[in-house]
Amino acid sequence: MKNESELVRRAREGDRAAFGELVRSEQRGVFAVAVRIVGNREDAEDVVQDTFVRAWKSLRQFDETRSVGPWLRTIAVNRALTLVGARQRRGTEELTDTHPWSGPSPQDDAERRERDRRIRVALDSLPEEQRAVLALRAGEDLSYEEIAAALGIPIGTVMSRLARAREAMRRRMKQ
Amino acid sequence: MNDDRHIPHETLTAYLDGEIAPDARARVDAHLARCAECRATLASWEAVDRDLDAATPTLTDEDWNALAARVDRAIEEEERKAAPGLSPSAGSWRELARRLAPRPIAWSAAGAFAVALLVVLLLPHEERFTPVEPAPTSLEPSPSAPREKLKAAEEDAARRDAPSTGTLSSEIGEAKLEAETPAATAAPPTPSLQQDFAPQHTSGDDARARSTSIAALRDSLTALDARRLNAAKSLAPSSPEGFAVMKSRQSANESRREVAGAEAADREAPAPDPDFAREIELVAELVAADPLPFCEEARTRRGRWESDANFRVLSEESRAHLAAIDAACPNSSREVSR
Repeated sequence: MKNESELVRRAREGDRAAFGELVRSEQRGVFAVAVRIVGNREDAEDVVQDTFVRAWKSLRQFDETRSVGPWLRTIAVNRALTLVGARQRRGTEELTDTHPWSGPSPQDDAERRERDRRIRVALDSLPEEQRAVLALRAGEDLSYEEIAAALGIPIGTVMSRLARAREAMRRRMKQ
Repeated sequence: MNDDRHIPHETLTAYLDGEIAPDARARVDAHLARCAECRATLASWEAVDRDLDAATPTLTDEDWNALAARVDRAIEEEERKAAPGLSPSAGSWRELARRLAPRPIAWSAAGAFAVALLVVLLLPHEERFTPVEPAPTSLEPSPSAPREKLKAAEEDAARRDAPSTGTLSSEIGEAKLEAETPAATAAPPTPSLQQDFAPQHTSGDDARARSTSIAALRDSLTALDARRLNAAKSLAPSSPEGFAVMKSRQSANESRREVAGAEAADREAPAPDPDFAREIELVAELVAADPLPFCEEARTRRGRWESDANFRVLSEESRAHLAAIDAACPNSSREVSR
């Protein structure tokens, strides 16, 4: 992959091909954050699309000295939370029953499906601010400092939300 | 062991994530060596992380390619909406800026007309109807012309009945393009106002243009708030006209609610109150111009928007403006700031 800052520079000048390369290199991370929050692939793909369109339109505001990944995840987490909020207002937040957490795969088996279901239920039970922090941290995606900057909260709050989220997940998974 | 002596969960989380100072890590290691309960907590959290990682869906290479292509199509569509005359291959905003370049001339004429109209209206009645020399109509933009055009566009929009926020936005965008230096208009990545305030613009003229533009946007928002307040007052049933308007809006809102109730119909829902959409657009442009002072206002307004029936029937354009606010103010949505 070409140098990220070079791609950002070219994209800021309107080079869609350069932006396309950024999309391809960052879409996995953006998707992972989105799907942990919205809970299903279809909505997560919508969030990914929305995130990159917003990023394209706001590229001039992006500080080139920073890494583009955390910035994209910041947009994604906000879009995902907005989508979840809208879904809750419409009374359609029934993820576990109506939206599969993971699609069928050759390795599918009952045990895995049960684990995925429990993870999904546990995640859905978290308050949104905890879900957002966990979604950004899972897979060692972002550092505490990056999460704090992304959500506009102190690092201490990142730590306390993560601790509460992990403990709540543990208790929920045991049930 | 007394609970007070266990490792605080915040510290344990930081330990698990490798976000702890070396001396603190040593103390945690020492405690874990003798505390089975803290070891068990740590192990269970590690298991949660592993399960969460393993359960997070991923896509096939084919699906990733399809998703990237979908994103590209969406961006192309956005560009086409922003500049309908452009072919999809035009792509570059440099090209867009070049194609838009002649437009400021037309705007100069409109601005000159607005200034002339203002001069006529400000004249004493006797002089107003006395033949006078026409006001200067030079096509060269005067320093105050963009501001005049912004205000004229706002006042014009305020008089219109038909929803035309998109048109107004592009008009203001073009007026603002004119406020830019030639170098600045050479490569805006998007024609929206937010791009006009890029940090690269550091000359005194640009700073003044930016300040003037922000002031114009704030004026517009204030005028819009006042107009909506007056409109609300005029809806009082004590006036027959107000009653008729109120009934009409109630009917429209009921229609919207019916549509909003059907999930699949969301995209085909009727456009919300144009003033509602306009307010979102103005706030988006303000936070894009200068996030620091305007994000707090965006948060306040967003709380009100979300409890408004119009929020359920937002147009794609308004959704995009909300997304822009989110992008500029990471914690603008209530979900995050809570």
